[in-house]
Amino acid sequence: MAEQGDLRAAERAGASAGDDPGSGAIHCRDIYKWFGSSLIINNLQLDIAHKEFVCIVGPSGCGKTTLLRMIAGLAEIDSGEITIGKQVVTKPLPTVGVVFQHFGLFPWKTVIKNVMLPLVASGVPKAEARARAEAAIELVGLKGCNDLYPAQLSGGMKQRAGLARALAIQPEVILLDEPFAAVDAQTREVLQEELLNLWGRHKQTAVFVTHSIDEAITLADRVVVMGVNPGRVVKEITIPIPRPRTVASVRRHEQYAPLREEIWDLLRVRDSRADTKGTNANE
Amino acid sequence: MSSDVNTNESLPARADAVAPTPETLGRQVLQRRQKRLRKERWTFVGIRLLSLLVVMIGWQIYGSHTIAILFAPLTTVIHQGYILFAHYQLGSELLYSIETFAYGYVFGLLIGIFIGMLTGAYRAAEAAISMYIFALYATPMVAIVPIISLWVGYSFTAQVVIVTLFVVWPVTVTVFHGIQEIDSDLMEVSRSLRLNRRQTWLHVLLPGAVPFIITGATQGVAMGMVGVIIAEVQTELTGIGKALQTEASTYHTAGALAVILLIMALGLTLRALLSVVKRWVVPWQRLDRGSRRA
Repeated sequence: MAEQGDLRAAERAGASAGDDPGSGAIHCRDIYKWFGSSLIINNLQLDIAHKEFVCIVGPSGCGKTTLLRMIAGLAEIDSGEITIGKQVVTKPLPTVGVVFQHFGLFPWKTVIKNVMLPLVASGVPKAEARARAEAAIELVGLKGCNDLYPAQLSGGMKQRAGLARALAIQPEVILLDEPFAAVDAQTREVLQEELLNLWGRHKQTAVFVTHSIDEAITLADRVVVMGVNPGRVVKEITIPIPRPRTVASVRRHEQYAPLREEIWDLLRVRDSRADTKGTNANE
Repeated sequence: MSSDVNTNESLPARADAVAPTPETLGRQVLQRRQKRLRKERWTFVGIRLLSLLVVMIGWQIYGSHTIAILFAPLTTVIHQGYILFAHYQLGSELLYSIETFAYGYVFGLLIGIFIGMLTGAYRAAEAAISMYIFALYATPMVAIVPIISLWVGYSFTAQVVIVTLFVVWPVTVTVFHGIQEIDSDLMEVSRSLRLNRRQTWLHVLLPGAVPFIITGATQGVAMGMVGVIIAEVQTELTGIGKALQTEASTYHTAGALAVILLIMALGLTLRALLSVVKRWVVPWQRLDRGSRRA
């Protein structure tokens, strides 16, 4: 198994990254996950195309964050297989950037050092790492904040730094775990707007976990609705709203209200069932 | 880019000022915060000086009304201290004790940091040796002093070993807990960023442990001072331990008090030094604390 993984890794290294139309595709096959003796994810199948933006929504305890962590190589896959491009995920892959809900910035490092860290760690020469980090910081609108410590930043700015760090490695895939859940509502919309803008210019495969239906419709090409007890894909809904989008243009779109209603109904059904059963799964 | 710098002050240019502001705004906020902190600091300095004055006057008055064998007025104590320095080599005794302390403290600190980090970071190491650490931490080191004398004798080396033993356990335990408390979220981030073991130590565990090392080092100062005096009184009578013993056993209470004051001053100086070191090595911690205590 490990040997096979290595083989695939070697193949992958041979192919020129980024040009390969399949390099950012994600396939989740027959995924099962248990927490203790309770089944959290039951036979989940999910395919995400190269450069597709997918939002995963679902009630608490449906395993959406767990699924993302498995794709990120941070949580063990109890059964089944996840591939990104040609690589089987067994540990965090170099082509994947992760944005954490809790920002995940190192408090003892300034913004620039935080963003440079994955580059320096992967052996990029320091000068180049700095240049690339600076570019990523500028991209997310944090120019001038290079030498500030995370403690000096607001939630919104922290998450910009987190995003810059994920983008600095120029990943094929970016995984975002409720990245805007910890910021206030206005900042959240500003960040959504910026993410739309950014993703419009530099497309990569994006998997975005969120609680917010609005956020999912605004950002995604496709919304994956998960159900709880056990977690599984209930429905996949393609969002036909054309790009380029803005938060406002999405809200105005005629499809917005019906989509919102459809997803809301799916979630409400699952949610009420979840409430009566009670969910002990800790996301 | 909205200028959402964390601050409690009302800022004139707050709103959602765009492009150039965060940098200048950040600087303004910092300056303002520093100014407020400076002001607060001077207020507390004032309170402290006042309190000191009251205690000194109280000491002077009380000391003047008791018999000399039991207590002495502050002026007498200071005068006696001067005499000890001028005529009884208290200065060189002090240097001797400082040397003992320095060796023991540095050894204790280094060993403590090493063991603390090892056991904190690796569960196998924890399983293997943490029980001894906690057992020794719970044991009053004074109990071990006679044994150390048996093994190492009564020399300078024995004194250093004793000081080391006093310092090492509090440091070890603090660093151990510190490493364990490093955010498990941050450890996950390290994995996600594909840091190898060396990089994880360098970028995450070591810097994360620094505040705890400083805390351990501060506790170590107090324990080390205890260690020095006990070592000097229990083994070969040397240094300030000797000065203290000599003065007290000959009922020179003022002299003994002078030595005690000296020991206090030494401990306070070391602690103050450490807090300067802390501000220097943990720059990220002083930024977000707006000193919100009443």
